[in-house]
Amino acid sequence: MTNIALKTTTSTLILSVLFCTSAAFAQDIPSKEDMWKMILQQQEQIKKLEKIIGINNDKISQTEQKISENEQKVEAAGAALDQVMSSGGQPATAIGGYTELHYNGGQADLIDLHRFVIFLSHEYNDKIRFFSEFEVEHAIAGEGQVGEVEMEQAFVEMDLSENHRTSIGLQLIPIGILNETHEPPTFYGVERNNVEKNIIPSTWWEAGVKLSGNLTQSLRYDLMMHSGLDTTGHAYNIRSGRQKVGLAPWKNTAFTARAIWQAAPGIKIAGSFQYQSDITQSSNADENAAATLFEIHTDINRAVSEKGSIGFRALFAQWNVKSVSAESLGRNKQRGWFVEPSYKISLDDERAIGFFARYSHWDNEAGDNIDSSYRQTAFGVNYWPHKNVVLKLDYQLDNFANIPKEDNRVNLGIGVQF
Amino acid sequence: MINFYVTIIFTLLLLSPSSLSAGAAASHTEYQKTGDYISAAFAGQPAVQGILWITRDIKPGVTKILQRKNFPLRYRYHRMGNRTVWILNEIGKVMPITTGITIEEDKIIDLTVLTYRESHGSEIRFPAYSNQYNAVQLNKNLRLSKAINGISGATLSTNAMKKVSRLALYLHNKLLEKDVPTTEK
Repeated sequence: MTNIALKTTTSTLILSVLFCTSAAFAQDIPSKEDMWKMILQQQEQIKKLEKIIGINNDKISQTEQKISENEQKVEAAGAALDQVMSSGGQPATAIGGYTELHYNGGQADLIDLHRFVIFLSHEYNDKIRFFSEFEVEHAIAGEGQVGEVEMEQAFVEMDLSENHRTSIGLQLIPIGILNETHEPPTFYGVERNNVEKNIIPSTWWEAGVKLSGNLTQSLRYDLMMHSGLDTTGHAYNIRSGRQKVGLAPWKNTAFTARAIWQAAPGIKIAGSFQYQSDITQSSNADENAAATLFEIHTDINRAVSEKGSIGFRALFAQWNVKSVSAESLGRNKQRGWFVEPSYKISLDDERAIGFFARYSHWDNEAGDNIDSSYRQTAFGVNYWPHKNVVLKLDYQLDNFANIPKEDNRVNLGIGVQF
Repeated sequence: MINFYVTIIFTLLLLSPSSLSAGAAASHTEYQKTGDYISAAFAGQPAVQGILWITRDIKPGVTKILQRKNFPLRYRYHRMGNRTVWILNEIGKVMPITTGITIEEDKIIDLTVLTYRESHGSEIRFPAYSNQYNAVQLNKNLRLSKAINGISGATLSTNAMKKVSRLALYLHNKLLEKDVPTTEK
C-alpha cells in the first residue's frame, strides 16, 4: 500500500515538472511578429554588407586601373630611357674620333700631339649616309705654325643594292693597309710605317666618285675616279704631290681599282692599281707625266689559342712615272715594301699585349743606279689597357743610303679611339 | 677630256638616287627584316614576346660585357621553350649594327647581321665570319668559349659582334634562371 502511494506521488511529481518545463519553453518561442522583425533586421544587415562589398569592388577596380596606368607610365619611361641609353636609340648623327701623342727620342728628341681627329657622321635613312673626318695635326695650326687643320673625309655614301654602293665626295683612296684604317689601336709602332707614308703616300685623300661592293662573299671591289696628284714644284716627289683637295687643279683625272680577297676570317689579301694621265696636272702634252701605282698587301690576324693570336702584315708598292724629267732624277720608279710579324696575347676582356718586328725598305729614287734607299728595322710592344686605348714603345734601327738622316731611336706613344 | 669625266660624275650623281628608288623594294643595308628573322628562328611558330629588366643582379654582368654604364633598362626577347631570340644593337665605329642572335641550350645556334651601317667591314655579315659563333657558349668569366677571328680593317665591327654575342648569351642564361623577374608582353 505504501509502495503504491509512493509510485503515485512520484508520477504526480514528474508530470508536474514536465508540465512546468513545457510551459516555460512555449513562452521562449518568438512570436510571428518577432520573427518578421528579425528577418527585416537581417535584410538590413545584408544590404549593409552588400554595400561594403560594392565599395571594395570599386576600390579594386580603381586600383587595377591605377596599376594599368602605372604600367603604361613605366613602359613609356622605359622606352624614353632606352632611347637615351641604348645604342639602338642612337641618334642619326654620330660622333667618334682618335688622337695620338708621340715622343721621338734620338736626334729628334721631341714630343708631339701628332693627330687629333673627330669623325662626324649622319644617317639620313637606311640607304644614305654622310661621313666626315676633321683633323688637327701637330697640335697647333696657323700662319708659321708647325701643324695643319685638315678635312680628310667628307662624303655621302648611298647603297645601290644589297651588295653595291657608291660614295661621292672627299674620301680616302682605297690603297694599302693604313690609308683607310689608321686609328692608333689598330696598328703596331708609334709612327705609321714609312713605306705607306712615302710611297703610297698615306694618308691620301681625293675628291671623287667611288663604286664599291661585294662580288662574292669573299671578294670585294672598289673602283674610284678622283682628283689626282700635282708634283709640280716638288720634283715628282709623290708625297709632296698630294693636293688635299684645297683649290686643287683637276686637269687630269686619276682612276683607282682595288680587289680584296677575304680568304678566311682574319686573312686578307688585296691589290690596287692606279692610273693618272699626268701627275703634274699640266695641260701641255709635252710635259705630261703619266703615272701608275701598283700595290699588293696581306693582313693576317689569326687566333692560335684562346688568348693568343698571330699577326702578319706585308706590303709592296711601286710607282712608275713616264717622264724624262722624272727619269733624270731617278724618280720614274719609286717603290717600297715591308714585312711585319706580330704576336698578341689577350690578358682579359679588354687588356692585351702585343709584340712586333718590322723590316721596311723604300726608295723614292729607285729609277737610277745610285743607291738612295732607306732600310729600317723596328721592333716593340703595344699594350692595350682597353681595346680602344694603346700604349706603344718601339725602337728603330735605320740603315739609310743617306747616312746623316739615320736616327736610331726609341719612340713612345699613347693613342685612343672612341 | 676633263669635261667628259665631269659629265660621267654628274651622270652617276643623277643615276644614284634613281637607282635607289628603283631598288627601294629590296632590303639594302637591312639584309633581313627583324620580323622575318624572328619568324625563321621559330619556324613560323608563335613565340612568347617578353621583356627582361636589367635588375640589380643582372646589371654587373651587362656592365662587364659592354664595358660601359649606359645601356637599356630592359631587353626584349622572343622565347619558345629553351630557345630565345635577341635583337641587339651595338656601335661598330660610329654607327649601330643590328644583329639577331638565336640561342638554345646556352649555345648560340645562329648569329645574323640584320642591318649594317658602317662604311667599311660589312663582310662580318657573311657566313664565313658569322658561322664562327655557332655552338659558342659563355664561360664563367663571361667570355666566349671559342676564339673568334676578326675581319681586317673592321676591328671595331668585330668587337661589336663579340659584345652582342656575349650579351645575348648572358641575358639568355639570366632569363632561364627562375628567380629573375620578367614581364611578358
